[in-house]
Amino acid sequence: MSDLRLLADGVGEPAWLRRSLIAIAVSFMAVFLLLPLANIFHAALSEGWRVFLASLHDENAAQAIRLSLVSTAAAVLISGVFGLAAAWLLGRHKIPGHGFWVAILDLPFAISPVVAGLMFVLLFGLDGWFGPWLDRHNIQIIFAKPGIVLVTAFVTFPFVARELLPLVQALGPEAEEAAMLLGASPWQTFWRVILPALKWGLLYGVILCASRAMGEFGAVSVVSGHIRGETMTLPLHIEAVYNEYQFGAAFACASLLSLMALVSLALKSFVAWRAQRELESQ
Amino acid sequence: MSIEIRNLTKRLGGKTILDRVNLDIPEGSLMALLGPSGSGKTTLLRIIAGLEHPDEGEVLVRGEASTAQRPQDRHVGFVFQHYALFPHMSVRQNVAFGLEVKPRASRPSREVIRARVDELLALIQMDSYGGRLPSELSGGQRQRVALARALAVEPRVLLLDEPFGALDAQVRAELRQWLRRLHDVSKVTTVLVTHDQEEAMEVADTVAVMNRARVEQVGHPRDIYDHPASAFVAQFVGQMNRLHQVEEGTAFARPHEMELSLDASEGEAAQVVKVVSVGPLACLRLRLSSGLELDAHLSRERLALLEIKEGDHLFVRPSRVQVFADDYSI
Repeated sequence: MSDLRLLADGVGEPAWLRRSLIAIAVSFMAVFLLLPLANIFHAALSEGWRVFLASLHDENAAQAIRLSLVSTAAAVLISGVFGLAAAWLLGRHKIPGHGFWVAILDLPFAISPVVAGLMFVLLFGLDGWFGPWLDRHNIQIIFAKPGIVLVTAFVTFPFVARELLPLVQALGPEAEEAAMLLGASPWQTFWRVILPALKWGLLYGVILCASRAMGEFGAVSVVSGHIRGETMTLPLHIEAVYNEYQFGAAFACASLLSLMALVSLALKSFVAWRAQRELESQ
Repeated sequence: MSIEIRNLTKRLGGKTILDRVNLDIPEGSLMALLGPSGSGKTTLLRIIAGLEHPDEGEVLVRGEASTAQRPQDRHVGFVFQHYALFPHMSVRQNVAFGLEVKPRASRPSREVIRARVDELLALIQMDSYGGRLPSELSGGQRQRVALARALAVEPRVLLLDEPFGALDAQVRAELRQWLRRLHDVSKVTTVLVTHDQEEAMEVADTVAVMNRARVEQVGHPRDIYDHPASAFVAQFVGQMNRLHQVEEGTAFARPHEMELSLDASEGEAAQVVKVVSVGPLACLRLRLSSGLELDAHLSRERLALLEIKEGDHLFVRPSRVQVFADDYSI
C-alpha cells in the first residue's frame, strides 16, 4: 500500500518542479540546437546576399557541391542495393554465424570514420594490397572520386540494411510463396510483391543514408587528397575556405549543407508519418 | 488431377515430420487431411505444392513425378491460413495477380482479365469490393478473396491449409458450406488440411487421418467414425469412452452407444455426476463404482422418460464395444 502511494506521488510531482524541468529542457534545446543553427544562416548572410550567392557560385564551391551530390547519389545506390540484399539474406535465411553477421552490419557505425578512410587507403592506396594491380591497370581509387564514393558507401551502409532487416523478418515468407504459386517469377515477385511491402522502410533508410553521406567528413577527408576543384566535397570545401579565413564563403556553404540536412529531416518525418498511417490502416 | 503420394519421408533436424506416407487422392475429389498439430499434415500439403522438398519418396500428379518441378510450374492453387493477400494491392489486383504475371505469350488480354476477375468476384459474392484493400475487409472476406485469387489461374489442384482456422465459428460454418458447393461446381481436385474433425466430416468426400508423421486411416467420413482403424482415430474423430483393458488391448464405446436403464440386470451401476441438456441431445457424465467416468448421450425424450437427475443412480451398458491394441499414446 505504501509503495503504491509512493508511486502515485512520483507521477504527480509538484507543479514548480515540472515547470523548472520543462524550462531547463527547452532552454537547453534552444541554446544547444536552435541557436547555432540559426546563427549559421545569420553568419552566412552577414556580408549580404551578393557575397552569399558569389560564394556558392565560386568555381571550387560549385565543384564541391556537384561532387557531394554525385557521391551521395552513388553511395545511396550502393548501400541501398547491398543493404536490401543483406537485409534479405539475414532476415529470411538462417545462414551459419547469423548473429555475427547481424552484428557486423553495425561495424561502420562503430568504427571512427577516419579509421574507415585509412582502411580503404590500406586496401586501394599505392602501397596497399590492390594498389600495384590497380596502378598497372591505370585505375586510381584513393585520392580520386571512386575512393570518395567507396568510403561514403561504407560509412552509410548500415542505414538501409538496419532499417529493412526487421521489416523483412515481419513480412515472412507467405506473400512470397503465394506469389510463386500463382506463377510469378522471382523477378516479378520481387518487384510486385516484396519491394512495395518494404518501400517506406527503404525510403526511410535511403534518406538517413543520404543525409549522412552529404555530411561525411572524416572518412572522405582521408581518401580525398584535397585536390582543389577536383576531389573536394562540400564539407571539405567548407573546412578549406574556413582555414583560409574566408568566413563569409565558409558560412554560406555551411548554410547550404544545413539546409540540405533540414530538408532530409523533413522528408524523414514525412516518410515516418506515412508509414505509420499505412501501418495503422492494416 | 489425381495425386499419388508414394513413400514420402521428410526429416527436419533429427525429427521425422513424415514417415513413409502413401496416399491416393482421386481426380475431382475433395480430401481432408485431418490430424492434431504436429502430425505432418501441413508439411504434406506444402510438399504437394512444391514449397518443401521430401527427403525420400515422390508425388505423382496424374502419374507423372512432380518432385523436380518448381512451384510456379505446378498449377497449384494454394490458400494459406492467414490469407497471405498482398497488402498493397486492391481486391481486384490481388485476384488478377496470377493472370497478370503470366508470360506475354500466354497472358490474357486486359479485357479478358477484367471479365475473369468480375466473374470471380461474383462467385465469392464480393462484386462491389473490388477497389478495397485487404486491410479494409473482414477475415471471412479476406479468405474468400484468397480463394478467388487461387482459382483465377484455373489450378489443376486446390490446396487449402487450415483455411478457416483464423475465423469465427459462424463464419467458418458458412465458408465450409460455400467451399463444398464451390467444389461441387468446379470439380477441382482439392486437399484441405484441418485439425477440426467436424470440418473434415462435413466438407470432405474422403478423410485421411494423420498422426505422428503417418496416415492412420483413409476413408469416407462415416466409415472413419463408425469403424476407426486405431485407438487414436477412435478418440480423435468424435468422442469415445475408454472402458477397460481386455486381453487384446483397450475397449472403447461411443457416448451415444451407452444404454441406460433403471433395471439392475441391465449393466453396471453408475451415479449421474452431471447433466447437460442443451439442443437435441442430453449429455450425461456418469461415475462407475470403480471411479471410472463415462459420457453418455441420449435424446431429451429418453432423458425425460427415465426421469434422470444429477445424483441419481442407474445402470449402464455399452451397446457396441470396439477394441484396439495399445500401441499408441495421445
